[in-house]
Amino acid sequence: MCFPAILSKAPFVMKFWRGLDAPVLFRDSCTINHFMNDVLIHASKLTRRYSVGKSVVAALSDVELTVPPGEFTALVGPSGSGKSTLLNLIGGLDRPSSGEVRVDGLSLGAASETELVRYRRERVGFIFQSFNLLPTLTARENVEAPMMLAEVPQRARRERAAALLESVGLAARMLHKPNELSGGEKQRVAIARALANRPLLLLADEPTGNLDSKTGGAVLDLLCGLHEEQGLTMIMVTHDPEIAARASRIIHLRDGGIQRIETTHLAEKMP
Amino acid sequence: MTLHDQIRTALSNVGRRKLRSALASLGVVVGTLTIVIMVSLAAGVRQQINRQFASIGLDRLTVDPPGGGRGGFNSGGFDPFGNSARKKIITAQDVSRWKQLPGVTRVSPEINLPGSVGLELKWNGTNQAVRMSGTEPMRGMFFQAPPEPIAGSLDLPESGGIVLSAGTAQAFGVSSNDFAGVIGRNVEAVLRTSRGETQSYPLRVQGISQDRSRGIQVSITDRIAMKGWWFNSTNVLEREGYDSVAIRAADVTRASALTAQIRQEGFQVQSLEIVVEVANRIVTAITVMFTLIGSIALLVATIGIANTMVMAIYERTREIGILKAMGASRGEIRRMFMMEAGFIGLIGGVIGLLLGWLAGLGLNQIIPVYLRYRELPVRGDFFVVTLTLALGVIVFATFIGLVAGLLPAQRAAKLDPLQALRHE
Repeated sequence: MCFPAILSKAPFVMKFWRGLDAPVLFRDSCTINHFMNDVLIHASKLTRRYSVGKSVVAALSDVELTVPPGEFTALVGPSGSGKSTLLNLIGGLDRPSSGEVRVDGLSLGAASETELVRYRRERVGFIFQSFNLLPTLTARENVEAPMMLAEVPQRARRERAAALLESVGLAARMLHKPNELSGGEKQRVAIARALANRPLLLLADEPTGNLDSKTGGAVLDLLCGLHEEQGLTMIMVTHDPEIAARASRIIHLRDGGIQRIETTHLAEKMP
Repeated sequence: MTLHDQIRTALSNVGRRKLRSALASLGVVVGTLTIVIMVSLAAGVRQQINRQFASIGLDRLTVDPPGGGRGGFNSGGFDPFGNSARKKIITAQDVSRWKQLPGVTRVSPEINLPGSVGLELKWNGTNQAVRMSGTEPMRGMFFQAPPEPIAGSLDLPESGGIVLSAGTAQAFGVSSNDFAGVIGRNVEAVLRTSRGETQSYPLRVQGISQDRSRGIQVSITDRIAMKGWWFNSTNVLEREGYDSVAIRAADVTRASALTAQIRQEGFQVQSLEIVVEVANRIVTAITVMFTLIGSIALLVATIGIANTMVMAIYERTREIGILKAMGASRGEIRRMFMMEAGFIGLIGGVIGLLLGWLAGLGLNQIIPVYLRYRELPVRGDFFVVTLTLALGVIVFATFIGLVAGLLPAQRAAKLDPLQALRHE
């Protein structure tokens, strides 16, 4: 991706992240930093080992990866290939055993617990296969939760939660609890929640895995729309080649390493 | 997360599992209830003591000779050789000097007969065993008002006078309607040794007191004579002095000044002020003891709360994972669960306080009925919940909850987000 292209895109992206009334959540230096370098995520020699009993298993070994901002990347591979591990490392839910992963200038392996918490809260939105909504809260309260953690005032977060739910087509289901929602609706709530704090990065782990093909397709359309219209950087783990085909880049993983990187025709459409 | 949001979240989490939260706080309720009842009882008793002492007057003091007891064989007044153990005796001169002191309204010297003295009252040809009382009601009558005369006067002349208790008069077959007719009659007080020697003292009835026991009060000169005969000594007053002197002052302030002054002279002085102080000290000790018992109950309650929190955290492991993925810090998770535990303690404390307070109110209604039935002259509340107690007990209960939540909350905070998210 060339430098002028990014510049032309930047104002729009900025507008989406911050909005007009949003509290300042990001350090300016970092925001500038990744535009200058044209890199949002950079992993080098990224390795994650787990000890299973007495033996040590490498879920991920020596992965080299660079993701520019605004890209939609699909991580595919058979189960145990390390795609979820990679996603969790990028999301700051896990720490590398060795090597490094930098997101937006922050080295996640070396970051302090406080920095990592802030990173998860302010720059990453997670979408899970099993939705992971808080069962006792209503849809709106679920969307408000990350903003509550970010200390957004109650009125502002209520308004934003309502707006987000409306944008995912759930204006009428706002006061329903998760067990009163269908799978597709739950995942929409989860998407709205992931967007609540205006993240840099959306991480989705098999977001359509628990949905039938029709609702799954609708959820995928929604996510792709976010990427295309609002330029949100997105990494999605999937095992479905059809879904992966909608990404601009497909990273094939096998046995904890990158097997090959495939650039789809969609990449050419990108500005 | 702001404090306001944390409190709201914690409260709604406590409300999620109402039965379990209620059961967990039950321990706190019991502990708080114990403390509230015990401490309010102690406070009530303290008030009661102060009131009762005040009603019989703090304006009195008793002077004792230093070194010796109340006189008589068996009460420590003598050493094994029959000599007085008293380092300084109360002489007649002392008594008349005290009478002259400003603010003194009455001085009653007392002579006590040994407990082994056989004392009888002879009247109309019958003898009845009686007990000798002092003239001033003070010792051993803390919860009683001074006896009132039913007939005649309770003031005895220097010699030859006797006051009968109502009980004694009735023992001689005098009905309560005829009490007035007894005044002025001649009776005899008879001392009897174990060998059968007797000595009688003619006395004239001055009055009848409402006291129901079989007691008599006798003029001081006759009592000196009785003691002299008993000890076979003609100069018992010169050798032993008075056994004690009751002094009545014009007011409480004067009484405490007199206490200090006479103590300076080298006598032992007992005033009710001191007794009140001692009684209060005892009540304080009892309060501390009861509070400790309640505190132990509360400490046991921490186990219940801790167990509830451990269960809640196990149940909500996945939620903790979700919260962590959304960017909740360890501190926020820890505070969330600490607050939940604190609220369980607080709710238990408030309920316990209310129950204890209500129980006290109820008992305050019931006890006087019983006291009236037993004709005990005690009035007023026995359970008094002070503001300090109410606030203290609530703060303590909350603190207990927080302590109970400490370790479980720490465990929740330390959960690995990925493992927590995988938890079913």
